Amino acid sequence: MNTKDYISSGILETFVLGLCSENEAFQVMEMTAKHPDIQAEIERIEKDLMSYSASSSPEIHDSVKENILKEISTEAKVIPISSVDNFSPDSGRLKFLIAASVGLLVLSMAANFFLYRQWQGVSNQLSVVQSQNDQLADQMQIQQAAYSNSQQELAIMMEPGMKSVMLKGMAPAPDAMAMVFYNETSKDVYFQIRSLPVPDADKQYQLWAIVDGKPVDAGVFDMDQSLSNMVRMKQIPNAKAFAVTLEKKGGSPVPTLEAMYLLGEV
Amino acid sequence: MSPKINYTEEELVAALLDKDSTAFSYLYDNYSKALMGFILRVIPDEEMARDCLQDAFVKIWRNFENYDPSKGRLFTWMINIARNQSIDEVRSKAYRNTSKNQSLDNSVYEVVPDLKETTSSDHIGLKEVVSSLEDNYKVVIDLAYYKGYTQEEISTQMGIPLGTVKTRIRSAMQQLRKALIDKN
Repeated sequence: MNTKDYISSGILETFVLGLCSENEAFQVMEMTAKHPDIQAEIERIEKDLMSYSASSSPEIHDSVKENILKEISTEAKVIPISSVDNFSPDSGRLKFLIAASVGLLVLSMAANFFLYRQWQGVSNQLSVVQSQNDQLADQMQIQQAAYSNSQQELAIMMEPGMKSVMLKGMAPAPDAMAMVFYNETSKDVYFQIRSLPVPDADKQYQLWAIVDGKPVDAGVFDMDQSLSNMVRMKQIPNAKAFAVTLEKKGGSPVPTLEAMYLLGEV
Repeated sequence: MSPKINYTEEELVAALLDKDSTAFSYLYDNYSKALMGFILRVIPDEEMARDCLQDAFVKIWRNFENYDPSKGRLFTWMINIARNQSIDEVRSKAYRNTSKNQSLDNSVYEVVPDLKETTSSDHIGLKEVVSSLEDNYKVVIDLAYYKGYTQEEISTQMGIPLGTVKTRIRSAMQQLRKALIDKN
């Protein structure tokens, strides 16, 4: 007989109701041990019967339970407090512990929230300070670069035999001005713009040295580079004067005299 | 911290054999309403039924070593104790004296001389669960559950062959289950 047939035979109902013979009860117990679905069905039948009779029961006053527990109290085993705590969900101590736990949890959550907000604030402040710090570091680097540049330029200007030559604006740009630092001994030539019109994109300024009455190419320069810094040009021996002309990009072998912007004698 | 609020039946039986009052408290919490409803079918007077319930539980506690798990369910054993206890109390002098002071109540007189004489459930307020059960099924369950009739007695009472009593009980319980589910 399979379990389904066994269940539907009604033997489980009579078993729970206590109407089985001892033999039948023994058989049911055996089947129950082997088949979980039979065990489950027995429990359901029991539950149904309990619900059925409980449905006609009024609420039972707590005093009934108290009376019973009082009556059996002397026969009951004394259970250690700790194990009572574990087993009785109704004990006042447990209730207190649960209430205390909940209270602590709430407090802890509030504290967490507060600390989290604080941490967020500090974190924001920190990132602001960090970015400020980065900016300062950048500025510092720029300043240092500028400083060392200035130091180098100063060192160049302080070199023995270094002459400074002021180039003045000619007809195309009377207000233009530039400086040439020329060392006759080492033949080094440095150039720095003070003021010069920005050329067209296809043009470039070219520095010339006048040696023995003839112009000698001393190199081209870019505006943005030589406006702020001293630019090293080609070495020239025996220069008597310096001039700047506007030439096609890359420079010319011979200067375009009509486009002479700057001129200065050593 | 995990308070243990559920026993398996084995754990519960072991703890009760060990005279563990916490387990007994659990037993009361889980079975008292079912037993009270059960007792009220025999003893309609609520106050008397409460006393009976109290006595039944004390008896369960004191005689627990007599329960043999290999022969049946704990619930079945407890129901038997409650049934016997309520029959005893109905027959007791105290109950007779009390009942004398009450207006004539048929169920009292039907129950007292012989519990097996009546199949009616004509006393205190049974809920919709019962009323939604067809009479035929209700009678079977009442005989088997509340009155503890044997299969032979049910067969005689209902006028049905002995071999069909089990299946009759089974269908009645199926109907009860349906009624309980509908109610919830």
